[in-house]
This record gives sequence, C-alpha cells and structure tokens, in this order.
Amino acid sequence: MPRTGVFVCHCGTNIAKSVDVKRVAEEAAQLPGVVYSTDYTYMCSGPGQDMIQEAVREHKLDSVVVASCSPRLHEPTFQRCVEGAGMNAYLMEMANIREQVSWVHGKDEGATEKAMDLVRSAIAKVQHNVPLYRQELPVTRRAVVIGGGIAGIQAALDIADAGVEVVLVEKSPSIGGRMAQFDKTFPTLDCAACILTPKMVEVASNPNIRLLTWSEVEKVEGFVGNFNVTVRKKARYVDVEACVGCGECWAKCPVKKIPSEFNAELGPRAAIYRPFPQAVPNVPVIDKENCIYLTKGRCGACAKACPKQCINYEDQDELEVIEAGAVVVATGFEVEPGKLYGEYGYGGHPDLITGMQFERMVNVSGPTGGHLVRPSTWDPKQEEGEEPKSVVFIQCCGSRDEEKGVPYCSKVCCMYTAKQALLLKEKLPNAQVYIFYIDIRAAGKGYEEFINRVQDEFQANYIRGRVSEIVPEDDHLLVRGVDTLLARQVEIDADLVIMATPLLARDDVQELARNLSIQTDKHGWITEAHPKLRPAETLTDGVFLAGACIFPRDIPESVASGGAAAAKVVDLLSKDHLLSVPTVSVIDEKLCAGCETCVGVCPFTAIEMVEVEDPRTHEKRKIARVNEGLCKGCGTCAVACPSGCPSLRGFTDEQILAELDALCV
Amino acid sequence: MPNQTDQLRQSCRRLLSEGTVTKVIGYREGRAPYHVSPHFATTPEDCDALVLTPFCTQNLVRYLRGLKPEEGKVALVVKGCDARAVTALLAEHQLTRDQVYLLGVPCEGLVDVDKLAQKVRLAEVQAVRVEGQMVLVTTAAGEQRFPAEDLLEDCCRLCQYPNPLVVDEMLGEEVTPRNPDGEDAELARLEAMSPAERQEYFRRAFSRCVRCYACVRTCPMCYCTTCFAVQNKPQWLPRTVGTDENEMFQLGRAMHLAGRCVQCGGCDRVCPVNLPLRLLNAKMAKEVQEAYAHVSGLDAEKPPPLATFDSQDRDAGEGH
Repeated sequence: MPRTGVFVCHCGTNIAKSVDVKRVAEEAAQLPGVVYSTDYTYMCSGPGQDMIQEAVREHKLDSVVVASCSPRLHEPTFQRCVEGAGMNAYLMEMANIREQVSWVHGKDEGATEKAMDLVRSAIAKVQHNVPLYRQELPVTRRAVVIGGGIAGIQAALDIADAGVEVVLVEKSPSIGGRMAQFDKTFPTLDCAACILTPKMVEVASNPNIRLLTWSEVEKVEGFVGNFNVTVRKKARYVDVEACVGCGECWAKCPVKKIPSEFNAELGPRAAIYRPFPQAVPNVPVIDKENCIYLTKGRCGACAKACPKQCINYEDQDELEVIEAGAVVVATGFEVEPGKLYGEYGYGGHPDLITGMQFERMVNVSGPTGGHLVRPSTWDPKQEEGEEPKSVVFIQCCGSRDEEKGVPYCSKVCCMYTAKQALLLKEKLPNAQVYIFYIDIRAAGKGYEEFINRVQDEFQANYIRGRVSEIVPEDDHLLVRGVDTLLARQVEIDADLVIMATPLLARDDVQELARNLSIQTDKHGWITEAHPKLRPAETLTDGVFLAGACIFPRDIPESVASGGAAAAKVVDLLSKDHLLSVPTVSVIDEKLCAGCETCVGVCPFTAIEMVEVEDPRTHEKRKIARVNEGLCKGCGTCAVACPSGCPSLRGFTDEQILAELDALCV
Repeated sequence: MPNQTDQLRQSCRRLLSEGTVTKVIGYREGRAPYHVSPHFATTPEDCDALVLTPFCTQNLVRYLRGLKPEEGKVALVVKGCDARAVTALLAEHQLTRDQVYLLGVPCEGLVDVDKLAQKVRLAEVQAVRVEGQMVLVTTAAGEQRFPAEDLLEDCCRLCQYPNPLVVDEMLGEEVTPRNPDGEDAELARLEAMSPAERQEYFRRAFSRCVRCYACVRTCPMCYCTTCFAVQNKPQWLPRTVGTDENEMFQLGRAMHLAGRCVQCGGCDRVCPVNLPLRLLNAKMAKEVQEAYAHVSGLDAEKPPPLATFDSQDRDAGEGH
C-alpha cells in the first residue's frame, strides 16, 4: 500500500478565498493510500517546506502531493524539498488548485469540488510514479555567437571576459551590424561609430574570441553542452591574415557602380570592397557575382594592385564543424525597404528615401561625405548638391498597419525620426521640418525630453496624421496628408521625404530557427522561453537569444540582452557536467515495428533508428531509440506511435490513465 | 485471364530457375471455381499451379511482413491495390525495394462472391471472367452475362488505380480505370449526413462488431507487433464487446490508417458482420488528401502525413 502525504496550500487568500482548503485536506485523508493530509498558509515558505519534510520522515511517506500553484512556478521548489527529506524528486506531484481553480472559479462555482477532483487525480498519479534519475552529461566549454551586431558583440565580449572561448560568426564581411550604419544615437547623440568601434576592435583582439566573418551557420546538431555547429566560411578571395587593408585593390577595381549594401544602396561600391572604413577585420571581400575575373576569367586588377599578394581567385568555401556547449542567436532584424505603400512611390523619385538612407547620408563616411542634400541633385565628382529647404518625415510607413502585415509598433522609429530631424536642423537650421506621426512613443530614459527638445528647440512641426500620397511635381515632391488634430487636409511641397519603414524579422532566420529547434512567431521573430521571466532563453536548452532577433529593440536594450545571454551562457558552461531531465521519452523496443513514425514527428530530431539483435534468435531488426540529451519530453512520439511503444517517463500511459480514472470515475 | 496465367507461370519458372528469386507468392486454385488459395512456389515445377482469376482476393502483401534479408528476393503477384500497399510499406520502412520482385497484374476487378450468389447458384458455377463492363459466368446451362457494376467488389467498382504503379514485370496490357476521378456515391451520401446522423450510422454499424480482428489480420498496413486493441498494459480497450468499446476500436483503427490505407477492400471482404469499413477508410483517405494532398501508396519516398513533422505544415485549426 502506498504511503502518500497531501499538502494543501492556502497561498495566503489566493486559494483559500474560493476553495475550502480544510475540507480538501480532510477529504483527501480519506482516500486510499493517503496516510497524512494537512493544509497550510504558504507551502512554499520555509515553515511550509519544513512541514513537508518533517511529515515525510515521521509518517514514512513514499509519495507526496502538493496542492498549490502551477508546477511551472514551484515544481522545482517542492522537488528540492522532498529530495531534502530523502525522497526521489519525481515521487512528488502537484495539483494546480490556484491557476486552474481559485483564479478562475468563485466559491459558489464548485471551486472546492474541482480542487478535490484535481487532488484526487494527482494522488492517483503519484501512486503510479516511479523514481527517476538525472544523468550527467558532459559540457564543451565553448560558445558560438551567431551575429556580430552590437548584441552579438556584447555577448561575445562578456562570455570571453568570463574566460570562456567564443566563436563569433558573422554573415557579412565585417562585424558591427546595423549600429555601424547609424550616424548618431538617440537620445544622447553619441556618435555610433565612436562608441561601437572600440568594442569591435576589442572583439578582434580578445584572445578568447575567434572571429569568423563572411561565414554562415549551416547546421546545428547535438544538444545542450554538446552542440556541433557547422559553419560555412565563404570564399573571400582575400588572405585575411596577410591583408592590411591598404585599399589599393578597391581603388583599382574597374567595377565601381554596385549599390553599396552598407550605404543602404545610396552610394556605390567596387566589386572588391570593405563595407566601411572601421570594418573589423579591416579586410575586403570580392563580390563573386560582380567581379570580372571571377565571372569572365580576365581582369585581375586587384591582384596586380595588391602589394602583399593577398588576392587568391582560387579561394573556395570551407565547412568547419565547431563543438560548442552553448549557442547565442543574435541575428538582428531587417529594415523594410520602403515598398509597402505603393502610393508613396518609393524607387520612383530619388528624393524619397528611407530612414536608413538618411543615416548614411548624414554620416561623414557616407556616400555624400555627410553633406545633407537632395539625392536627385548630388554630383559625386564635384561633391556637391542642393540642400533641401522643406523636409517631410513620415513615421509608421507600414508599422502598426494590419493591412501591411505589420500590426506591431517598430518601437525605435519615433526616436530615430526625432533624432534625424534634430541632425538635419543642426546642419540646415533654415530648413522647414515636418513630421507626420500617429502617436509619439518615447518610453525610455531621456526619450520624452528628447522629443520635446526637437519640437521646442529645433522647431520640428509634428503633424498628427497620415500621408495619403506623394506626387512628384516639377522637381519637388507634393506630400498630401491629413492633420487629424486640426481636422484638415495638408499639402506640403517637399525637397526631401524620409520614410520610417518597419523593422522586420530576417527571412533567413527561419532556417536557422528550424536548425536550432527554436520557435518563431507569425511575424518571424524568435520566441523566448518565457516573454517575461526567461527573455534571453529559448525552449531549446543551451540556445540563448540576444538583441533584436526577438523583436525591435534599441541599442541599450540590445546591449543589455547581449549581457543577459552571456550571463546565461557563462552560468551553463561553468558547470563540470550537466544534469539531464529524466522526464523524456523511452521506447519499448519489443513493441517497436520500426515504422519510423516517431522519427518523422519528433520536432527535436531526438529519435534515431538503430539495428538491434535479438539475444535469443540473433535476428536483426531496426528499431527506434531516443537520444535523451535531445529529447524535450514533448510526448509527440508517444501520441503518434500506433502501437504505443514510446512512453514519456513521468507521464506514462498508466500514470495518465490513473489520473483520468480518478477524475472521471 | 488464361493468357495472363500462362505468362505468369512462364515468368515464375524463369525467375526461380535463374535464381532471381527464392520464392514466388501467388495464387492457386481453391476449393471451388470462385475461390483461390495463396500459393508459395519454390521450384519451377510448383509454378504450374499458379492461377489468376477474378477471385484472387487475398492480399499477398501480408506475407511480406517480417521478410528477412537472408531469405533472398521474393516474387509477389500484385494487383493495382497490392502494389500500392507495397509502396506504402516501402514509405514506412517495412521493406526495401530489393527484397521483392513485383509481378504486376493489371486488374479488371474482383468478383464479389456474395453478389454472385444472388445471381446464380454458386454450386453450378464453372468459370467466371471479367471483360470490360461485363462479367461472364459459365454454368452447366451455358454462359450468362452480367453488368460488371452489379457483380464487382465495391472497392473494385470504385478503383482508381487498377494498374500496378510499380512493377518489375507487367503481365498483360494495362486496363482502363473504372473510376478515374475517384467518384464515390456512397461516400457522398455519408458526407451529406449531419455529424449526428453520421455518428449514429457508424455506432449502429459498430454495435454489430464482434471484435474478431479479421480486419487487422488481413490489412496489409497493420504490422504493429501488438495492436493497441489487444495491449494489456495499459489496457486501452476493455475485452468486453460493447458498442462503446467497438467504436473506440474501429475509430482508433481508422485514425491509425488515415493517410495509409490503400483501399484494397480487404477489411470489407473479411468482415463477418459487413461493417462499412471500406467507406470509413475512404472517408479518412479523402480527409487526408484534402488536408495534405497525400494519397497513400503512390510514392515510396513520401511518409504518411500524420507521421511527419514540418514546421511549415498548415495549422489544422486555421483551415477547417
């Protein structure tokens, strides 16, 4: 006969207000196998836990039911508690009579009866539980950080500073990410490059960091503590070790008119190029689609110009498998290129630009050398153009528009638009500035004050309303919109129009997410393990998140999240070994017919087929086997198998049926 | 099918004497002209007993279960539906293609003995053959002709794939499918019912089930080492034979066959109480086809959709 103890928690008045906890405890005491039953104000408190431990010893309990809150909250607490009294942690079950009872049912709505049902069901289950044991798993003390923007840089630096090896993988030729493209940062107007460049240099010089730029993660296999990350090191055609970034090659390259990705296509670059002067590493790459030598087999201008013979046209992609204990995803975001509103006609007029293009134009290392001009008038030879006199900024060019598939607020546009208006007025004090907005969202330290300053001190005209169309007229742009505060139509003759387009999740993150078995939401943003309590983690153990791959974030938030992810990585990798969670699937090898259904449905690729030999008949057959490190215990295989071979430890068919019987009978 | 039979015997003698296969699984004459038995030929002489008649009902694919590599290659006589079963089993890794040599028989359809018995006295039947839209029955009194529609098995009447899609050797000319568009009036009637009527229809039918498990035993796709219906720990189904338990068994089995059933009609044929099993499985097949564009037994590379995980899968909650 089992010896079960039942502990009913009041949770202050949280549970006790609608559940008659005393009656629940009394009735539980009458159930078969229950030898002790009591209630207490706060079971999770010190005295509450002491009470459980004492009862376990005194009444020789072999199983415990705690009727309180959700196991999400306190299962680990009570598992530790019973372990402290010498019991196996998995002989404790929780009945959730708070979230599932008192918070959703009143006293008159059968709350006590439902609490009793759940307790009875938990008792039935716990009496079918068996001890489960955690296994020790080895840990590789190395982390891979994917993405070299500010979040990835911060994560890599913090992990490296804690003495853990880091491999930082960046897709583009240089680290720096979006922040490197910005001119100044709100609200302090620090020059982005001035605060970012030292960190980039630190990455390059830190002995614990190995930097792989122009590289992409192709495949991630393995599990927490033991990942194998396959990285494709794309052919760069330039010797990274030997090159000093002197610039002779791109000066001599005859292909010069390729729109520069870094300059948001506002200016050109050569076929061999370094994205920006502060690039780390300070080494160019050859764009193989546009290089004459690589496409047509003749030219070689860069190779002739290079004083150190760094150019190697025979360079090939290489694959490298990196063993790592943890992975940080810091892949950032994309900026919508301005195509959501056809009525604005982006692409049809050079003086209609995006916020990112404005950032590049206002920057001294940008395509106009920092001259704020109308792009239609820019003469690159003379390095001059006409300065705009009337400038319109349009916020929410797609954001907060359900129709355009971007129902969310991109969060940073209100602030960067204000910043851009300020930078413009600093350079062109006589220009008229108009800003169309829906709402001003300036929740941040010094943000509201910054907006006020742009309105008052820099006299930006904020117009609450939307722009309906932009019509090219003569050599300017006629902006038609509405001022909803004054309830009237507005028409502005503009020389320059800047659109704040939405921040989008990157397309290529989907494949990475599949590779890592992490989830994305319907807009493609990566889902955290818990939006509030585990914002730097994913549901795949050992995979952490930093920066704006989760959702639009500004620089301070990205830096903070990079640090948070790093702290999680360091915490994980500081252990000598990891303990597996034993509530995973196990396959009854005798029943298995080898149909591979479980292999097909497993979202974590945790099941593999192995050949086994019958010890008696020596017949060989293929059966499924679970890799316990990879299995998350989701139970999909247990449901999918027609003959029920997989069973989820801690949630076996017998246990679930016992629960159901107790509920239904 | 005399020509086909000759061709079959010839091919099988060749396969066995050349050592291409170690065994031929086909049919031989049974206890009556309207019955055949499975036949296992291991020598060229054994092949003389092989026959092909419109009564070759037994799904020989069942005999491939547990076929071991060391047994060598086995030749199997397959109709259109049998070949689909082989393909479906290949997709579920129960076989490898090199274990079997498929002797394809384009199939005009099988004659339903019960339906035949309503037309003529079975004891007087001497021979039966199907020719296009007619079934020709020879008795002592001479030859009688009946519309094929009236005498064929339901699954054959409605067959979309009479020609084996995958074979090593085809015996005879391909035939024209009787029902190329997969129209099914019975299924349409079932779908026209309200959910409550449909439930009532099946419950009434299942109340007759005696849980003999003949459907499980004959089904080419039932290969679990222990069927959920007879497992003891946990015991999913009480051993009592009542409508609730029968319903649980039949619906459980239908779910397990969803997207896997190849509509060979085996279950319909063997059911001693005439449950509408073909209809139930046809309904499930249609659901799966509509939701996942999957038809079982057409592609050995495609696992059944309910046995796959794809993060791009349409969310069932959205489309229905």
